[in-house]
Amino acid sequence: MSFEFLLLQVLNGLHHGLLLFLVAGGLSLIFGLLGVVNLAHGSFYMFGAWLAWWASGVFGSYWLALPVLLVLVALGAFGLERALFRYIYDKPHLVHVLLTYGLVLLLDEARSLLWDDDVHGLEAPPPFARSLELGEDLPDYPVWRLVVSGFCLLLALGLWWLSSRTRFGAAVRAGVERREMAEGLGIDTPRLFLLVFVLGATLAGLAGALATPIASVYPGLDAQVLILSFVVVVVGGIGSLSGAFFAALVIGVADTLARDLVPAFAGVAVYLLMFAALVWRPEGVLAKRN
Amino acid sequence: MARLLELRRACTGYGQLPILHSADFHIDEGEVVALLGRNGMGKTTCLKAMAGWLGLWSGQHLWRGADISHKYKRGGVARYLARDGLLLIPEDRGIFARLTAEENFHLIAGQKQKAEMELRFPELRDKWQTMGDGLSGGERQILSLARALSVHPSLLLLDETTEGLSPRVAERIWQILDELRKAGQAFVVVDKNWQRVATLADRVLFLAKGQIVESVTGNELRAHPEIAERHLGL
Repeated sequence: MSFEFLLLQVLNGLHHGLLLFLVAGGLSLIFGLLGVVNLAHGSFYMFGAWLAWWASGVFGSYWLALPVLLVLVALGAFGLERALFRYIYDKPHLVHVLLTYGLVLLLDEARSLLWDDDVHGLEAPPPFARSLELGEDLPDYPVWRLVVSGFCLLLALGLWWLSSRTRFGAAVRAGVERREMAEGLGIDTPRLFLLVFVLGATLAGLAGALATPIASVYPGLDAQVLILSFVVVVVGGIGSLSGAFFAALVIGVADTLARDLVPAFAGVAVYLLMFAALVWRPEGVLAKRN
Repeated sequence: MARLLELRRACTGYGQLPILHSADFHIDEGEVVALLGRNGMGKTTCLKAMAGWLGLWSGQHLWRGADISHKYKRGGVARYLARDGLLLIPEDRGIFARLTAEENFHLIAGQKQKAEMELRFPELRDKWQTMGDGLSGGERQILSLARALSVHPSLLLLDETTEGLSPRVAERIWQILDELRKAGQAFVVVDKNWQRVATLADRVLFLAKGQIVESVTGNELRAHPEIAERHLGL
């Protein structure tokens, strides 16, 4: 294996990690602020992906499908938060797990009824439906992958700005740290919860839609992304966006490299990382040591 | 003077454990009230009940003359009261460790108030970019007071006001509280230094086993220190 090929795989891993961050960043905030273990978070990713494939066919354009699916995912998340999640914030984690696992099954069944259980592909949208030639021994690199990585980086920057430079971000961090005190200052934490939930779900849906032209859609997308996202949340530290960003990149690269270099080991690589993080920095890799 | 807050036969506690038993008292506009009692007698619980942080199990919670007990079913009582001018500064000062002093302040206050508070509390001037957990105990207390005062509260509740502070910083806090009293700011103060409290408070309430067992004026307490000795076990 050449050095160039290894570099290419690292680039692929970073792309994987950046998409993972869009899912895991929201999951981490929802876990940190709302205290909810939301197993259905991967379902938003799944719906984003399937809606991207379906709506691109219906509208004849990925670019038209994208805003429509984002609105649909956001509305779905809004409805679920109002009808279901807001009633379980103060309940034990077992209730969260049981309820959201039921939701995973229901949403997957809904997906199966709405569409089917086949694998579907989607062309990268114009003008990015082309590849870069990197050399004789190297595979061509899809331009869409670069575009998505760049866009995810911009989004990560935007989230960092929202979290660290705005009053909304400070209020969210205050709510994550101590909800009772935030309420005691007059901060409307239920409204914050709703906004964070919808934002997190929409980002997950967006990640699914961005991944579709490369990764295709198939049943079981939700579980696949959810498990990796939880690993990212644990490694990065619950409720920490910067921790989730760092962890997502590490997990993305580790997962991609392990699949190529040691395929037999690929299934456990990220869990070993999680194990190491739990031993070394149980409160998250970027958390200050007490 | 108009009545700001009143608890009638208020009972509450944590989990299954009752702490406050049938507490009856009121706070009027512009009044300074001290809450004294031995450790574990329910002073903090009482403040939390007043601020709506802790729902009443039974009894009535009146704010500006209106019974707000029914609001507990829907939640958000602490938020409602905070927005209507009742703020609690808890014993740990309620400064968020992972926010800078400035972010802590701007959670409820704007730029204009920051300039005002800088004039009033010069010690904050070069601390705005310090993270909450990097501030000293005194700085946290002053930041917390500045944050609360920036919204011109009707009633402030101050738990263990000078606990853990050096004598010099504690003196500064007493000086600030004295200025607040002169400016007509209503507040409830809980502190172990009953002599200082007696010089500050219009009324002193003694709490024992979750009930108000005696109410005297600050002047009476100064004239009869044996009252404090009796209730505080000195």
